[in-house]
Amino acid sequence: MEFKRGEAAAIGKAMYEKIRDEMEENYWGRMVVIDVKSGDYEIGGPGEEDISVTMRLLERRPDGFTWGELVGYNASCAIGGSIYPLPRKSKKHD
Amino acid sequence: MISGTVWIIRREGSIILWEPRIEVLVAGLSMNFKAVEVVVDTGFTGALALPSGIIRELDLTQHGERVVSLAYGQQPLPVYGAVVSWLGQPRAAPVYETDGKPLIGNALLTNCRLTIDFREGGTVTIEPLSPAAAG
Repeated sequence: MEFKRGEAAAIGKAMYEKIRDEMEENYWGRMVVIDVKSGDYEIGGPGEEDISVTMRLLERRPDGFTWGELVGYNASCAIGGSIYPLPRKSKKHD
Repeated sequence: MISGTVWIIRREGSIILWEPRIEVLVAGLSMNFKAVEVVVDTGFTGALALPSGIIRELDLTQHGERVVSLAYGQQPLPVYGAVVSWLGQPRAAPVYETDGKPLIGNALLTNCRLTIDFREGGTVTIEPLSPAAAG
């Protein structure tokens, strides 16, 4: 394993922050999967599941290691917890 | 149709846990399917959650990490690629690595009818909804 536990999450979150405004503006509620090695990313279609977006990205980046965000939400999956929308980052929506 | 059984766990005579369990076939890239007993958990939005021991046994490949909302907060968990044989069809499914019991969740139950006879030894069934009833 090239990444220690939590490392891909930290890199992925930092990469996502840079594109977050654009994602929230145009792709609210969609999955975005980022290759934390190259910075390349793939945006899911409406309702598209994480795994199919991930597979598309990994076809292009076979050595990729991924981080995923459900645009505008606290998490992309819940195990006993809940998934809820976060306040938008951009001020223009406040 | 998939069938399983309700297990209950008692402590000092009181029931402390109910587990509707089924068996599913899961494989990694090698497509070498192995049977895994899983708890049907409708509080889990994903497809599969497995402990590290079973993930090693299945030789799954980690493809990243995802933030998961757990009952006690959010946490990034390792995620692996797998194929699950579901209602006779192979389906690509992400597997989240957890410390808990093996689970299947809503991503696999979508467009299915789940029935549980909620008693010890009760029957659990999962079958596809008819096209008319499916969303």
